[in-house]
Amino acid sequence: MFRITGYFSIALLCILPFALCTKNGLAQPSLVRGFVTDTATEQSLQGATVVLRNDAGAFFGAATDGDGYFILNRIPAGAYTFQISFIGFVPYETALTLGAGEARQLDVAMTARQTELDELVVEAEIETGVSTVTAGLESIAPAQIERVPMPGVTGDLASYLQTVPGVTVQGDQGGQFFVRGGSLDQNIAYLDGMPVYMPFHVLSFYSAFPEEIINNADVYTGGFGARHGTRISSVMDVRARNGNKQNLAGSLSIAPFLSTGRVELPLVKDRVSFLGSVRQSLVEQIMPNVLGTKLPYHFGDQFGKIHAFINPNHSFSITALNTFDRGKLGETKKTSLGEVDSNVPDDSSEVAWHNTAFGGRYTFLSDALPILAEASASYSRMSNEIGPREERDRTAGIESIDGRLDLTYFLRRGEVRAGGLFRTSTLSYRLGGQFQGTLDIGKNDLREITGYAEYDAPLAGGRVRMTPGVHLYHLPDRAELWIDPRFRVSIQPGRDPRNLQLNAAWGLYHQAIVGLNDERDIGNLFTAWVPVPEDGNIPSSMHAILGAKYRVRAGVSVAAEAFYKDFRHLNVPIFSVLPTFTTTLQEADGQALGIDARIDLRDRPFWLGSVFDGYISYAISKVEYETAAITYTPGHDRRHQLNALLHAQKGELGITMQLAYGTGFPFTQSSGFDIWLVLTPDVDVTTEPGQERIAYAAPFQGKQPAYQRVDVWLERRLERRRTVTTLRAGVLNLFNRSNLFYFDLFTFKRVDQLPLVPTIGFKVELR
Amino acid sequence: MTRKPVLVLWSFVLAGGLLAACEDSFIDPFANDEKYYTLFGYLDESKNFQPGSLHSVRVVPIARTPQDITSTFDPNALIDAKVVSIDLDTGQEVRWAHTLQRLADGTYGHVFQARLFVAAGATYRLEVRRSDGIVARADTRVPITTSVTPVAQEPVLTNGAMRQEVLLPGVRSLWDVDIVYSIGDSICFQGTPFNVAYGRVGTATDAGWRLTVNLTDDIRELEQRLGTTDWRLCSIGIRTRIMDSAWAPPGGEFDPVTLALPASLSNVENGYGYFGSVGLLQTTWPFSADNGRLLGH
Repeated sequence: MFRITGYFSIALLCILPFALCTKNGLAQPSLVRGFVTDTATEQSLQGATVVLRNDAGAFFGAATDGDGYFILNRIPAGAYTFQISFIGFVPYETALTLGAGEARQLDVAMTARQTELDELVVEAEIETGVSTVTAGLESIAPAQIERVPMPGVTGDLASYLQTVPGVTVQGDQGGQFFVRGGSLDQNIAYLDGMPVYMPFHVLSFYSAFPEEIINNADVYTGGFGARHGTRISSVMDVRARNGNKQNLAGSLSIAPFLSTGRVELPLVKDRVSFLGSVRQSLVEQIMPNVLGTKLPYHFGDQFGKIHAFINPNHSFSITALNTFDRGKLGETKKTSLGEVDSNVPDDSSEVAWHNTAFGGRYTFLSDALPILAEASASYSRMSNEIGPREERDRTAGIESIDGRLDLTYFLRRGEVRAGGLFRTSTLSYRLGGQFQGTLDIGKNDLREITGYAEYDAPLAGGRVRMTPGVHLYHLPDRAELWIDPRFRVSIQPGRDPRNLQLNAAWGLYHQAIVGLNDERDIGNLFTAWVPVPEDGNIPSSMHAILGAKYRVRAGVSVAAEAFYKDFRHLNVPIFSVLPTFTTTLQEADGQALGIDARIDLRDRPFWLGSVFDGYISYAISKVEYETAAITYTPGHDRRHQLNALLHAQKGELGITMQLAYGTGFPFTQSSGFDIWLVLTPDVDVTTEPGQERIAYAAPFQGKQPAYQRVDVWLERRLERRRTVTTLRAGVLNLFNRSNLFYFDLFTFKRVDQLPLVPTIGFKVELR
Repeated sequence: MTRKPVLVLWSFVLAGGLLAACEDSFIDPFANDEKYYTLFGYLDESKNFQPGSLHSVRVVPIARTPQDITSTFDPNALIDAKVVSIDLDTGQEVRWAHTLQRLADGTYGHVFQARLFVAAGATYRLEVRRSDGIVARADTRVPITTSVTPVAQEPVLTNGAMRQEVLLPGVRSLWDVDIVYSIGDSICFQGTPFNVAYGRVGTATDAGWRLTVNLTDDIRELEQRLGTTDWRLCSIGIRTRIMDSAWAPPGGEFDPVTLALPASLSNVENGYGYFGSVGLLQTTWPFSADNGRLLGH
């Protein structure tokens, strides 16, 4: 890591993208480029293999990116065979003759096919070449999300993430995700380039990202490349679908937990589309009648996107998102000492948060140069509140405006990517109410500028892919610049791309923003955002990841990844037993390390002619923080985690069983209750009353009980022409296990996660 | 194709599910770390010279429910505790008497008191004994104030302000500093002391406690107080209470937010709180006539 102070850094950030363009823009070779889409849905296909070959044995290949875009560059003139293949689609092939210096645009719509099982498996594994294996990256397609059932009929990225090794979830309530040792504030989520600051709903099955709006989601659990910054643990980059430009499509689902509606239609046929989604929870109204107990959660979201192809070289989209969550946690009617008090309002423990984001994205394909440019701008706002609705005890918010430019320059071998981000944020909080005593109000502005460049280089005939890069992080208000190197490599040691694949990633990361949680309480859903204090060090981390994937046989694969994250200068609230939410910070260093492993079975024959899909994943990890005074394992350190999903399908009928198990989180126990005073030589202990307190023991030495849940689902899916009808029934928490959600150390009141919940849902989809 | 991998996976999952289902979901909120009493009090060496004065320690039993500590509203509250102090150098044991004191907020507190001569440099152990043999204890070594000889640097005049650095060797913690100016006639035959309150100033270093005396500001204050400038500064001194070396809060500040954490400042074995000792330091150092003239005195 290098650090440069002064405004020289700004000049460097501005010049970098142009310098790259200039350097690479010296020649105009022949090229073939275009977009690959799905004929039925009009959605772009990421990861399709595009090949150009001739009789003389010349071979040029590429994979489509998140927009379905590909480019084959610096091709000699001549006659070629042009092929595109993608799992589940009819391969596309055509003859192509390229003239000298010609730039050919070929947009291809591929058709899904019904295929023989074995053929599909083999094809799928060929597709999973070294170009798609990236350390620390889980690239998620909607079809994968759909595999994970949930209470409701439409899938959600949050449910899928719960099955990803290294992603730790508190349980089925809480909406908090921790990724490979990082805390909540060290993760960032984007939807079409817009930051979404609290993307998960209060019930952890749901997020702001329903499966129906997702085109693809890249979840970097660590070791992310040079493009991403401003956070030091993980990045979730979700791209929304563009909507159908051919005909009206949509869906409607009704389920007790969440009912949904989606519509997509062409506004201008073949040119402009609209995609809209609305979701609304009904659990608060329905569940008391079903279970006889309250589930006081109210949440939902609205999403809309307009996408336009201006011409083959230009496209434009506008995306908007709104989410809301409200829920009550634990005991109500509670005083600061935990005593029940009828004067305390019923909703005293209510927590709420809202996200609002909108933005635009413009994609430009140069005629003169093999460059793809994306410019985007967005506004995002999040507010978080806790306490009675009339007057919240605490409020906090974050509001930001982003401007971003990304350039991809396609070389004969590989590509160069460069760009940057400008973000200006306002962070505010008001901490007061019954727990605070004094009102604490803060409002801070933060400006961040990032720049990056990386070279994605295929070597050794494509069996090695190396991506060195550098990320620049500049804070104008501190006049400092951090230059963070990043490096990723993927290797296919053998000749057969279906067998062993190795990958690694390494990088340095910085972030200037701190999300303050009450570290004493894992059930706390309130986060106050502040910039790192002016005289404090900027938190940083180093990630190192090593991974391997091995195909044991057709339809059976194993994968494992080891990771290490070294955190420096973390800002954590000081430990205190006073019932205040403190903004006084202390520095901590930390380490997170672990191993994730996963066995995947796909399309295996099962009993009675059914077909089986499934996986089992296991993660072991350890997180440790060290302050000047103590070393401790923070509240999100889950040592062991096991997830499994078993699915059998026969015709229209499918049955799924899902298991989630995680060892308990650390928490701070107490020695009991006593009275304390600040003892000085001025204190007369015969008159000074002191103050009651809970005598907390050493921080985070206790362990909560393990979390375990087994769900079973039965699904029937009927496809008739353009209409798909799905009926899903299931049982959440089959063993009715009492999984701890919240424990009040004052009153010993225990609040558990969801009990055994039967649920049923119905969905009609027009394709 | 074979069903074997599928069956292996099913077996794993079923075994995992059964294993997890058997696991207890009980949460124990208590650390069970053998903490029985919270103590607050200190021995004050200066009480040796105040006939009839008592040393006091407040004893709070650590309870398992918050309701138990609200029993301090009971004027007849009982406590299962006996308190003794032991001079570890001589072995002399003194039994402290229990009283239920009415506190400033109207509640009651268990306070144990004793009359004893506190020897500087001696180490005392306070033991709180429960009837079942449980004992919480704390040791304190009384500071030797007579051995502290201030090291005063030559005053420095900067931007019209004269300051003097003073080191109190071996002192780790102290309370409420008064700088004592001895003022007299031209020959300083009989100086009269005047105090300027500094509060808890200075910092602990390896060599001892360092503080800065702001001579110019203090002299101006004395001039205002006396209403005249016709006097001579004869000597400077310090009056402060020196606390035992362990009575030093983290970060040097008596910050309630930090000190509320039970283990943040505690010397009690099998309990929380602090039992310390203090001694009074009163000493002077000479002040040169030349520096006095620079200050106008």
